[in-house]
Amino acid sequence: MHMTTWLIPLLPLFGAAIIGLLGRKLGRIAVSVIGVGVVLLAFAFTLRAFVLAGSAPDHRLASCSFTWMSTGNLSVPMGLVFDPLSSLMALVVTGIGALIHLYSVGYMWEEEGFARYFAYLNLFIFFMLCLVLGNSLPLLFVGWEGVGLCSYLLIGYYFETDYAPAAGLKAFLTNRVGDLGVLIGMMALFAHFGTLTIAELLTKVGHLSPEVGFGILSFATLMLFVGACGKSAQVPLYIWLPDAMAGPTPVSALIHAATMVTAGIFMVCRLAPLFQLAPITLSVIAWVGGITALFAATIGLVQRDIKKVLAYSTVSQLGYMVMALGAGGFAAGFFHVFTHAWFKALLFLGAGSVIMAMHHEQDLFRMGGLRAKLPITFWTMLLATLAIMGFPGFSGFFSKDEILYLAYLRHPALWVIGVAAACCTSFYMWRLMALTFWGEPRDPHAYEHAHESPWTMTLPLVILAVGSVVVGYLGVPEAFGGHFAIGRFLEPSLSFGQLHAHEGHHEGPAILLACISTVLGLGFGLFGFLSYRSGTALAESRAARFPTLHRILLNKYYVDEGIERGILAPVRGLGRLLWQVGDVIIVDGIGVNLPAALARLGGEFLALFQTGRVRNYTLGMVLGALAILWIFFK
Amino acid sequence: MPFAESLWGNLVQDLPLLVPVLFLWIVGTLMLWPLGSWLLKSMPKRQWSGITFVVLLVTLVLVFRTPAGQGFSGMFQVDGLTTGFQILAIVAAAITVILSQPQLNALKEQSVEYYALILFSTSGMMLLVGATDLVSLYMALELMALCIYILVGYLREQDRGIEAGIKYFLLGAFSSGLLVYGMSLIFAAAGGKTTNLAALNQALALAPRNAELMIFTGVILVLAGFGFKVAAVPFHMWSPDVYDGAPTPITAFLSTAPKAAALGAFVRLFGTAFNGVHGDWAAPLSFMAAASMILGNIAALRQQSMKRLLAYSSIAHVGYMLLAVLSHDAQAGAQAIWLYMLTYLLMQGGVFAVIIYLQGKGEGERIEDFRGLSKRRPMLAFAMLVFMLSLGGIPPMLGFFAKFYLFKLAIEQGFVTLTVLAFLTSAISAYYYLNVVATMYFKEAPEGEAQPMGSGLSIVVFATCLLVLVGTCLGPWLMDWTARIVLV
Amino acid sequence: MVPMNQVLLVSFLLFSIGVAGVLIRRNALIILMCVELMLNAANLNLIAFARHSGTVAGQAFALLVMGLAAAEVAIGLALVVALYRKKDTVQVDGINLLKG
Repeated sequence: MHMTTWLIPLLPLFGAAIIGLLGRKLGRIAVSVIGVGVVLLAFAFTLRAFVLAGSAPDHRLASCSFTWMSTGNLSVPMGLVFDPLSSLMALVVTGIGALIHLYSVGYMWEEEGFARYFAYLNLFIFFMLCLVLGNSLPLLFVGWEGVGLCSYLLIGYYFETDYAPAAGLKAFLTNRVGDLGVLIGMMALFAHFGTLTIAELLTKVGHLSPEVGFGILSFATLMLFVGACGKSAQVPLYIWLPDAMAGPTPVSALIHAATMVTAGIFMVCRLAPLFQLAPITLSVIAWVGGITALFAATIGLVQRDIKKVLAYSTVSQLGYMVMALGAGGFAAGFFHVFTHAWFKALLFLGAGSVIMAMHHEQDLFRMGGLRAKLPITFWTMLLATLAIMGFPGFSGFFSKDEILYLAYLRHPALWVIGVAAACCTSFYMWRLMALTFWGEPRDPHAYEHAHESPWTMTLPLVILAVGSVVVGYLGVPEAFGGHFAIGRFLEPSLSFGQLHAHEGHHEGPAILLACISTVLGLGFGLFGFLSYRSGTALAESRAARFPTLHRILLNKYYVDEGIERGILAPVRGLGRLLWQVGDVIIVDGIGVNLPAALARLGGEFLALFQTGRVRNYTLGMVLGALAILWIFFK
Repeated sequence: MPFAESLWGNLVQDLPLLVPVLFLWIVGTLMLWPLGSWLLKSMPKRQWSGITFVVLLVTLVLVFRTPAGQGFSGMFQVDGLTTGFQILAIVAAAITVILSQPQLNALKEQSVEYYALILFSTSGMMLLVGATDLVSLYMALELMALCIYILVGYLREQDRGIEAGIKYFLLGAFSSGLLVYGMSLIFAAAGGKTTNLAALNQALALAPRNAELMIFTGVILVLAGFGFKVAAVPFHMWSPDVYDGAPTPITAFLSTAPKAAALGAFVRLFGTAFNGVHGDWAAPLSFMAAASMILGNIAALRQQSMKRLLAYSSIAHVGYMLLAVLSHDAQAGAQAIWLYMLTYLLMQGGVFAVIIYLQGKGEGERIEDFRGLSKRRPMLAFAMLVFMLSLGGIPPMLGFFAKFYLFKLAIEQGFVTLTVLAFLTSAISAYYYLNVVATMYFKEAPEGEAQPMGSGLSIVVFATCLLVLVGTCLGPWLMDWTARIVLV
Repeated sequence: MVPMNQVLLVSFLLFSIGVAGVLIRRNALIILMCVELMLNAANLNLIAFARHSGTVAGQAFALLVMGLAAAEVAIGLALVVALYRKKDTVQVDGINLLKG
């Protein structure tokens, strides 16, 4: 058992090593087989561990751990833990990961750096599994940093372009801000509790009561949440995610929609008992999530790049999840992570299929009428759209409704924000669908050559589409007569055996609220569809009527420009100042060049005595001897 | 004739101590006549370097087989110190002989006398380190020096060669004048009864109080004589000029063998004869050590010529080694010096082999000539990198190991200030050593084909580089050898 | 019997004359002769104190110094001749190609 669990993260690592070292010699077919195979195998082993953990008495399976480092009173074990939360997440990572690997074989086949791509992707799976399955915060952090690295490498995959490396750098640097938060949070926790092992930490937390005021717990959790903001693209650290679309589309699906960006939410769920003790942090989380959800959704309304629309949609959906966490609904938040992984991955992969059919055209305004040309892509994307907009019966409906209900219990204003964001979501998703698949082809030439993708790409689409429809039934909320099964399933992980962790009580106008939000969502969806079904003219005239608003939205509220002027420019100025005064004058000048110049001058001075004349040399010897005689004779 | 009989008897009894030296004398004499000038006249002259090398190897074996003991009325002694430093002198001479072959060929200056003089000079060094009497000490020193005077001026058709020769000779003669006068003063102060070092030590202890100035002056003059031989400040001024003008293999010889021998004798002389008057020479010697470290390293900074740079850096290295001479524990000092000298010998041998390769016909040894060596000959550049790092005392090279051992001893003996100074000046030295590395790796190479390298030079570079590189791994073995450097 | 102090004084004067000569004179031959003076000052000490103490070690030393001085002069003269052939001078101030 122990061996096979260790194989789960190690298999992708082996894959990455083999492909990375031998990639060019192996050939595309071997790379594909290894790249997809290791992830599939890892998925199989995860499934086995999942079943075994489920049958274990405490729903928990800890794989053998050995001491990773031990200094002073710090002892960090290295081991894997399978509990409901981590094993479900690992299933998502390996399962959807395997599908996206398969899809990539078709999508990336023509690319020069095929092997490099698969090496990075396998490495990403390895780090992601470290993050998910690690039994200690340092191991989680290793994975956390590792996925950041892989994200950076994959965003900058098209390194010969101008924008891709810059986007990679932006993602990396923005995440560093968050990583610092995680580190500080970890240190604070260690200073207070003396351990970094997750199980020990949560056990120690167990008999504490919620903190009153702003104490160490609030501080530590807030710092950890800063890290979550970076990784999960929350305001104000979301700016990297839209730019990250510079990477290949399957990467956007896997890393920037389904798995890595949810790491922040996963971490909060992992430490749920701890966060529950910090009410201040929870309300910060709730409001940050709500603002992000609405803010990103409004930007998504006007974007023309199909991937940008989906990117802002992802930010918005992540906002939903974070809002759920803040409302105390850890299970609801994670449930949305789970459903979102299916339909958002599907949307991205469908978008990739469209982009490929249109010969790397990403502008929605140049597409249109592709319904007949790409039937499989169309039908699967349609299902995903229904899921994300919360059409009754689809997965998004259940998870989103649960979140909105919890938000209402927390604060009615949050519910309003959530519903507004949901309306925007419906609108821009139907806008996207209408512009892509309905109407007249606006680029006839590209339309002529468009054709459906190969089976390696359509098979994952179909599987994900099925998932998008059915996974919602794992957690039918109690309001609709369900048992919220996923909540019960996750209970051991989220409460960690404590009693005070449970979902909100289902009372009040649950059904009414659900009806309002659903009807509004459907209405805005229909509005979006009708506006764009026959082309862009109607929408453009409407944009002309509100030019300022349109420009602000199109420029994403000028956030990037604000950060440039408000933060980056002053920092650069400070850097230049430190460089020219601190480094050039003080360190280089007084610290290094001055002694060097003095020594050199000394050399020149000494050379004056080295005249080359024998008589001067004898004089030197005699004077030297006399000097010694005179100085040292007592 | 009982006198003659007893003389003969003593001679026969003591002769085994001198077998390696006698062997060198006999072979050297035979090389001059009749072998070189008559019997093997038709043999190509360049083969003499190979023969000399073999002779030196045989001498090395003989040195290992020489029994410990004292003889010749207490004038010569074979102990661990003698054997150890004799080995250093022979290895240095052997490296010199290999290095000489290509350059003398290029200059068409091969001759039997050159190699014979190296052998005689080496024999002088071997006597010097075993000398336990002022008379034998002086005799050995002169034997060593007289041969080197000729070798330095060997290229007498070159302006620079003859200038170096005459300078070294005049200054050397002057310094030996100081040395002998100093010895005579000490002899006088000790009552004029003995020249034996151990006996002198006892006699000096009983010397009258009014002889203090005489003893002190004598000790300082002897210090000046030895300071000249090892090129310690302020008796160093000959060394950059002479290193510069002498044939490059002789520069290599000069920077290693006589220094090793003189330092060996230095330890013995000051550790035995002047042990009782430690107070007289400790302070002046520490002054010389400090001045050598500072001046050597600072003056090296501005040098453009590789040979002059090495001359100044050699002054600095001697400064470090004088720290060990200062040691109250003469034996530990001798061990540290031996280890350091062995390392230094290997590094210098390798560096000079590279210089000789670049010089070709004996012209140009400027640091500029190293430009782009990494492109032209990557292996050679790497070897040079290793030597430079080792000379700078950067781990994990052997040079670091030796320097560490030396500085550790100095700290243990309480010379904290001097050791700190040694560290600081050592940091300065990194600048000019790494400057050479930077020139090799980051400057564009001049036009021209890379010349082939002779097998002899290649072997020297390869072997020394390997030893310097992995030497630290042989630490225990080296320490074992160092422990055999015993003063009886 | 001459007092030892006076012997030391004479030898010191001899030595000083030698050193001064080396420092002042430019002719290589004369420098060589002055070095001989320094050696002879040492010889004087050696012989006088050997005689004073009645032992022979010092006298043997003096003999050896004289022998080595002769050898030194032989080599020195050879070098001076070579210098003269090359540069047409035996003045040492003129030779300073090597410096710095």
